[in-house]
This record gives sequence, structure tokens and C-alpha cells, in this order.
Amino acid sequence: MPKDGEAGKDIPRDGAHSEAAAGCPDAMALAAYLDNTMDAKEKARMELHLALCPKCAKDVAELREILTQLGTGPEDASAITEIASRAKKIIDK
Amino acid sequence: MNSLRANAADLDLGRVISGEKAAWDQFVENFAGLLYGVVTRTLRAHAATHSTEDAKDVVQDVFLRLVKDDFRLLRTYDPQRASIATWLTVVARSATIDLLRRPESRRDTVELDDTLSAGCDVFFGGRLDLPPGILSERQAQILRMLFDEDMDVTEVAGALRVQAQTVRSLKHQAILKLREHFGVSGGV
Repeated sequence: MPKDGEAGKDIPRDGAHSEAAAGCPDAMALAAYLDNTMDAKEKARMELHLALCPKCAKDVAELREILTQLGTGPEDASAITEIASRAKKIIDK
Repeated sequence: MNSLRANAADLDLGRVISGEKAAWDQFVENFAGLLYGVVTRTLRAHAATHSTEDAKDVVQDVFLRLVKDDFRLLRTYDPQRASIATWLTVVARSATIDLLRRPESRRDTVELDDTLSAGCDVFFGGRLDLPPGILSERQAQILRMLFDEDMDVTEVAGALRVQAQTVRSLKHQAILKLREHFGVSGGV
């Protein structure tokens, strides 16, 4: 089971920014918007929010850019191997 | 992103969340590269300087966040709403920015600007809290019908006995005014 309770504390609300006001969409809502799976009303509500919330609008713009870039360039294979090796140890049985 | 979607197809999140070691290892194998890519791009955008070691530490923190408190964060993922790759991208970027906000990291950040520091005045859920004196009564009424009462443009037009295009136009004008009021620029 998980080890190392020191890091990873202060988990943001459902993966959203910890500083985000309660009214901002959480990570799941942002992901649904980015994947275009929201129904029309939910999407309209999100777009109104994005039109009026600079922080979330910036988040979405940056996330779109990151999603576009992922998988397009070479990543540091040795770093990823080391990361994976370390992360696997979080669960030890 | 195609390889990421293929990775997601192999994923059995139920086994991961149940704490099965082999499933966790597979999850890590599938997404370590994605998380590293997201973290390095976010650090590049928001930190004046960063090293590969910084990025590795942040990715490890993201994995820890996912499993902490019996996978509390990972359990919030809903496969019906978005791909795991997109959701992890949102989570990893947010985690990176959160870590940059910690006092020991702040001196190295270049951005964390007013936009990121600002709280949010506009609710995504709940009822609209429109600032007074910005919109006409009609514009405010239309936004409330659209967003508080979940009516669509046709329903609003019917209720107000105006053309749908009039509703769209008033909504557009209202949003422009609110954007100006909140200091939001650029398209969404």
C-alpha cells in the first residue's frame, strides 16, 4: 500500500488548483470540456465560466497546448525509466 | 496522443484502486511518460529554472497524490466523462503549479502572475452571481434564464417572445461586458 505520507499532502480539490475558488470547475470537468464530452448545457455553462474567469481560461489554453504537444517530441527515456521505477515502489506489495 | 489512448485501453483502474501491485506497476508504466511530459512543459512555462531532477520529483508527487488516502484523487476520475490521459494532464499540470506555489519554490518562479494568483469570481456550478450595474436588465435576465434555469436559446426566445438571434446577440453583448468588467481578454 502507499508509502511516504509526506509528499503528496495538500491535495487540491479533485485535482483542481488548491487556490481555486469553490466555483471553478474541478479536474474532471476541465478534462470533460477538453475532450468535448460535455452535453450542450454543461458546455455552455463552462464556456460562460471561461469567458469570465481569467484563471480558468488560461488553464484551458495551456492545457490545450500541452495536449497538442504530448507525444510529438522526444522525451527523456532514462528519466522516465527512473520515474517509473521510483513510482512503482509507492505500492509495495 | 494515439499511443496514450492505447495505453488507456489496457488499463484496469478497478485493479489499480484495489491496490493490486501488478496493476499499479502497469499504470505507472503506461503514464510515467505522459506525466513527465506534462510536468516538464508546465515547469518550462512557469518556472524560471528547473532541472530534470525537479521534474522527476514533481512526477513522483503526482503519483503520490493519486494514491494518497486510499486513492481518493484517482477515484474521482470518471471514464465516462474524459480519457484518463486528459484527466491526468489536468491533474499533473495543477499539481506542478501547486508545488511551485509552495514557499520554498516561489523564488524560482517567473510567472505565478496575477491571473494564477487570483481567486475566481465566477461560479461554474451554482447560480450566477452577476456584478451589479454592468448588464442591462434584459441581458441579465437572459443569462439567468440560460445558465441558472438551464433553458436553451429557443426556450428563452419563446418565453420572451423575441427571435432566437436576439437572444444570442444579447447573450454575446452580456458576455463581452462581463469580460471587460472582469478584465478577461482574448478568445476562449
